Amino acid sequence: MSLPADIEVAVFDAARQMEDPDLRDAFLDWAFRDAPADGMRMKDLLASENDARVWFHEASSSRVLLAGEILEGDGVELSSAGIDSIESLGLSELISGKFRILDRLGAGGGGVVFVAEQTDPVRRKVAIKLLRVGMNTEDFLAAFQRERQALALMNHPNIAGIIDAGSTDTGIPYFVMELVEGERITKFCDDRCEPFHQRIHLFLQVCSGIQHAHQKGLIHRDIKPSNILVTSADSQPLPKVIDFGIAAASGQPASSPLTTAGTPAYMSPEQADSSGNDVDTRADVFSLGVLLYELLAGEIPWSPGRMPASAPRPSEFLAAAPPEKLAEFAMRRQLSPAKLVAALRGDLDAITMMAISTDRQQRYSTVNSLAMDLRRHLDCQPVLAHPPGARYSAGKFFRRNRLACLSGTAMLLALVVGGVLVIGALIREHEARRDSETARATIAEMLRQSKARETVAQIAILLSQDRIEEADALLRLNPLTGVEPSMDATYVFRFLGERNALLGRWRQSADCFLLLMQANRLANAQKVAEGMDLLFAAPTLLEAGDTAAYHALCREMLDRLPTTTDLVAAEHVVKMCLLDEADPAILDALRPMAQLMRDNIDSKDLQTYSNIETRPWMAMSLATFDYRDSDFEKALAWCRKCEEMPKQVLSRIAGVKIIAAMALHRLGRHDEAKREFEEAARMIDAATPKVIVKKVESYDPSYGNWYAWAVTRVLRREAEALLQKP
Amino acid sequence: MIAPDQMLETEDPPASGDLLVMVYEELRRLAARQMAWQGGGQTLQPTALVHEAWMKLASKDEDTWKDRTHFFRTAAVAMRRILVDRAREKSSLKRGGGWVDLPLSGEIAAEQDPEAHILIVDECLARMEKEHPDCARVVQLKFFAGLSNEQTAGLLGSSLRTVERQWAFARARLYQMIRSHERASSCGT
Repeated sequence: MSLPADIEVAVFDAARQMEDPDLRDAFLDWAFRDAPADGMRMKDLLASENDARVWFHEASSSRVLLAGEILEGDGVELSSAGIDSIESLGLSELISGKFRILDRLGAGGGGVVFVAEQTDPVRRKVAIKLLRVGMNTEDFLAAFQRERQALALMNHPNIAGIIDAGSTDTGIPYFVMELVEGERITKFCDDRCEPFHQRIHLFLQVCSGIQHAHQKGLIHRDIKPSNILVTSADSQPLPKVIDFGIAAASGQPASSPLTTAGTPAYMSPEQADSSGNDVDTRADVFSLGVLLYELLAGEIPWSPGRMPASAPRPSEFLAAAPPEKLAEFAMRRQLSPAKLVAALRGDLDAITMMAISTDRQQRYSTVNSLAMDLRRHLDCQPVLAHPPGARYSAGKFFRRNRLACLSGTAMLLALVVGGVLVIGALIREHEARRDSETARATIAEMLRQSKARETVAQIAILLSQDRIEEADALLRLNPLTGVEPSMDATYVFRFLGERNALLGRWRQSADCFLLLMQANRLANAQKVAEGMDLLFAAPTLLEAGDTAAYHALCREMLDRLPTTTDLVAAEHVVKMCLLDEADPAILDALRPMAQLMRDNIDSKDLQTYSNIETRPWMAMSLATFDYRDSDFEKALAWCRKCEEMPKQVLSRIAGVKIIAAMALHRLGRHDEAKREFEEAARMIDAATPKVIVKKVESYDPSYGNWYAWAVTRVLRREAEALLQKP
Repeated sequence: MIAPDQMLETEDPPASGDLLVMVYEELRRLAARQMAWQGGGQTLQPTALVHEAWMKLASKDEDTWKDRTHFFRTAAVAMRRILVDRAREKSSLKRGGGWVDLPLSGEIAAEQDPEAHILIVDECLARMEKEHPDCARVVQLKFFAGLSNEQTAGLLGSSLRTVERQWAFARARLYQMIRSHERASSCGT
């Protein structure tokens, strides 16, 4: 039995959102269990998705080309002067007023640019851009008015200012802009052999300009080196974004006739997509990512508009580049070739690749979050774009929950695989078409999902505008019980969860992190384990007193990541799954990860500078494991070893003392246990929310973050109860 | 040559051939005017063009156009027709004037052949109209009339998410057909 057309489309859509190939295959095998041949065809369809996108991009250029030819073939006399002729544009009126046209600067995608001199109110050179738009309809003029107002609102040092706007007598709209005389950002950096941090600082300024525009509702749509000029008027280099002329007011993307294509090499896939109208601020994030790639790696290793599905990371590209090219790029960054590749590997690779993800759901959802991650990198803080880890097997997770998938209710399915919910419901509806009760429940569930998606989007927008209190209030007014996996959702819930945690609002924070983990469900579990999300969620649930949710989280984590070879992931998972007493099954599941840490903690790799901070955390993790495993002597030994390691963090010292106190108590050394406990308790009492916020803001790495302190408080409560017992 | 009525069979609600001709003519006139105004080699924005045609025709003859939806669907057919006609013309000229059914095979792979792109999409779309009529309708509006997802959703009375889903599926499915067509052609069938 093959699936009906609409359900086939829904299956396709659900499968393409699954990042993990095993999960995807398991899902397809299940969906097409009665028609394996159709299943094969669907897999082929999914595999060709990216090629199809590229092909249709070319095909739509063909359509445009052909349309142009049709018109020429109609015998229309095409004036060679066209828009470029000053007279034909009715510019004399414009000129006689306030501006004197000096020279034609060039023609771009959106129109023709002239250099002019402004005489009134001040004498200065300006750029005047005439838009190539053909129509004088009310629709168009209304859109132009909106855009003009938005442009007038922009006032930012990194954006070329808009001085005036209007339309000529013949109805051609124009913008008068600040004339920026500078070098394009890539050439500026290369000519001066700017090192990485300098390039990133310039790039961050560009981000802040673009973010400002986004807050005013404008999308640039054509970010590229030639639109970002660096002036060095007052010795300080100042990048300025020019040419917001083709930007469309983002509130009205569909109907704005001002919409024009950007530049293929820097254009996001959704912009290159056939109509190019469904573009939001994430298109600019993509273009910024390509620019960042070029600034860091020296060039873009794919031809315009043809970014491959598996584009090389900047470091991979350079490592494979011819030696003379690599030497040249390295010299331009004041680095040796080997150091250049090494400097990119890790954070910068991950940040760049996340920004240029072909799927916009996987990108940074705002320019601000991209900039924040770069700042974290500069400050040596962990970044949110985790380096992609080894593949894991989610098949097991799916298989274990197959029963729920096949026989449960819509809600149960939602709990299992979040986003697959709608499609699962559709299929069941198909199977039990006459069951009107089910159908009604399905519809209600779909409505709920679409409302949740809307709420998430609204919150994301508020956050991108720094309207945090409003965002938080919106979430409280519209409590969500479930959420589909998406980058936007992870961003929103991570942000609000952290914020509520810093304010000590644990229940609200826990709700956010529960949704965060749900939104993470189709993401790579390895990445989730390596990143911050597990570290945030686990202690928060216990702080909120939600032990049941905490244990469910641990079980899910272990289901999804049954094994790992990554030390950071192992360290996080072991510690986070043992914040509360654990049954033997959990301990057995964690045993190989603990062994991995034991085998590696003294290895040479971990003594290097970049890894040195991981070691003491691993020691604490191992102390926790051995304590839960009732090997109290060993646990105590790990505590002592941890305390002797360099790079101490106060929250960890307190945490290790608590574990030591519990181990000592179990060994019958009650007095020592009491001493350790009291010492730790004093530290923990001093770490009030206010103090933690202050330390977080000052980036003091030796104090400990809010979640690390939450771990110590959770352990302390357990120790307090334990030490009461004889 | 595909007759207008044949193409309209897949459209819902059906429009008469006369209406199609009227839209077709209006679109050509508008396009010509726009190009003259803009100078050569400029991008023809089908969306804007269709919008303007709508405004002109709607004000001219209110009875003919029952609603916007009807008009836009007809306009999409007209746009498709204009492009396909031109592509056929060009492709037959390249072959020395003789009429050839479909310029498939090797040319499809040659990237810079605009008429091949249009013809192959047109041909495969005809097949898709049987398999997945809803998806085919989305392609017609998005690819041939250049409408956005939002506009398409509005016209078809479906949600934005549905249109996105259908478009992604249609694109991949059409590409799959195109590839298998290529393979078949290069094997000499």
